[in-house]
Amino acid sequence: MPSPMAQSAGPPAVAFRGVVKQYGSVRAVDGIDLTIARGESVALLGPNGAGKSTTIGILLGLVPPDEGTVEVFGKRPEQAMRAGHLGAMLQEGKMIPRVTVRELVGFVRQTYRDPLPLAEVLDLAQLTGIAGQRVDRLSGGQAQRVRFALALAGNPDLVVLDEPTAALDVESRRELWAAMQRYAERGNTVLFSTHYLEEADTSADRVVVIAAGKVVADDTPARIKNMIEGRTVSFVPRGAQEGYELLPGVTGVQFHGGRVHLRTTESDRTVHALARADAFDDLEVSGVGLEEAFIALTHGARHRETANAEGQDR
Amino acid sequence: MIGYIRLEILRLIRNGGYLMMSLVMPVGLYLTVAGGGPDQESLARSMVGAAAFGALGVVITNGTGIAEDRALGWLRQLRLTPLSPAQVVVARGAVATCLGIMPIVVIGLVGALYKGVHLSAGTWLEVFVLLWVGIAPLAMLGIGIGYLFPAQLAQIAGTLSYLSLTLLGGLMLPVASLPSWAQPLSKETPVFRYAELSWDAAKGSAFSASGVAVLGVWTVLLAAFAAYAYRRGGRRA
Repeated sequence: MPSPMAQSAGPPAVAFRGVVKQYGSVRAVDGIDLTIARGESVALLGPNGAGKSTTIGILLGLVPPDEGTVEVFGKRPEQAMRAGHLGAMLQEGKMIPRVTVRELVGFVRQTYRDPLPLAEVLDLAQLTGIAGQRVDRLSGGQAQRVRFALALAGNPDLVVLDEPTAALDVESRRELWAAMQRYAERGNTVLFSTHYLEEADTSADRVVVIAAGKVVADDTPARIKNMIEGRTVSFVPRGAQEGYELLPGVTGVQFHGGRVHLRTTESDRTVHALARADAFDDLEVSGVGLEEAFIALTHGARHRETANAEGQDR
Repeated sequence: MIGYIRLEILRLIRNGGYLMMSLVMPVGLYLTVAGGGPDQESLARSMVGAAAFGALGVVITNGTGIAEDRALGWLRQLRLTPLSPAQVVVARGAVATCLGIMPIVVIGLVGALYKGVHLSAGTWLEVFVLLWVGIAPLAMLGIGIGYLFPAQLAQIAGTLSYLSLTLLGGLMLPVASLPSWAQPLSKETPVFRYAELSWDAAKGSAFSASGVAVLGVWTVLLAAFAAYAYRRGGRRA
């Protein structure tokens, strides 16, 4: 964790102010304000289509925002890129033909003023063994590690990774996060996007949840996890059907299909309380899917029709 | 930027299309149908034409390669490095110009050793430098095509401009063999004026002022075209 002193030295790593990006009638980014201090590791968490990639594109200077301003280390994104402050790994992009791993990584690192040693980059991304292979003949996971190496090679102050572990197997994922953490420990700022809560939880010291182009939650991984990792307790009610929201752990009450659905952060205590009241038949406890959790978090951020349709959710 | 030039040179050398355009086609045509002769002026003229044809092929291949790179996301990847967009374009031009040497040298050797072209050492040097440096505006045409069109269209646009400029520029066949309506057009093409510099040098005659002027205007126009195409295509990169 960075000290407050380090955080106050110079402009923040990232500063979004009222950033909007519209594609046709869709506001992909709908008024994002976000400041990231130097040295932070931040996860952008959100479902597909939430606006994570557009936000990252704006941050990297690839997508011009329609409204608002973005500064990276006090500079416009393009300037920050030119100055070598930024390294990035995007989702799309195939590998170019007729170049080896070593040639490609070596080239990118040489465009930066103060890069990591080539051997160290290859080692960090576990590419040493395949350094002589052509990049267009690699497996999906290997190509992903090459992209990762390209993001780190220049030793940038801020490294931005857009869903870096997509297409990786479990083992490669773990290795990539370990490498990422070693990199962050050197005092570099890291911003990555993911739709896996677990990755945000283990690899970031701050989680920003984005949905429908807005920041809907911004907190420590533990608190976000608590918000998202609820369970649903559902049953056929018996007797009086009120006061459910007062039960321990309950954060939402919904009636449909003749059943009561309670969203809870502490399902054990909720069920105990229900049992004491002897108020149910046919009880079921189920985990909340991430999608459902996002819907809960994004309640306020969604546009009106959807909000009306699910208006009884809380 | 040197690193980028080196990388792109490696990639182009390893491209089969490059070998085809820079060596196989120009040398093949030079040795079969476009050898010229029997007099020295015709021999030199044909040699220069074949070398220019090869160099043109290289810079067009380089340009259409850009469209393929864009489709792969390579241009976007480059925007994620400290290289500026302008540096990338300039480097691509430098790559084309560097690799344009190959057909010029090889055709020159074939001309001198096999076809019996005789020039003084100074004239050889002059012809070589003019063929080499003069290709720069056409390199910008290739780059513009590569940035403006998607991959398949760029391939077509590249081939079309390659063939039409070769014919109109009188590289493989004399301008006099073109239909009469096309002959005045020929004098306005950058390719004819590019080759003309070396034709004049080989003959030992002075450069035509209007030729240099036409080539100068084309250089400005094609640079503007490349810059425009870059700005449009770069945004989609």
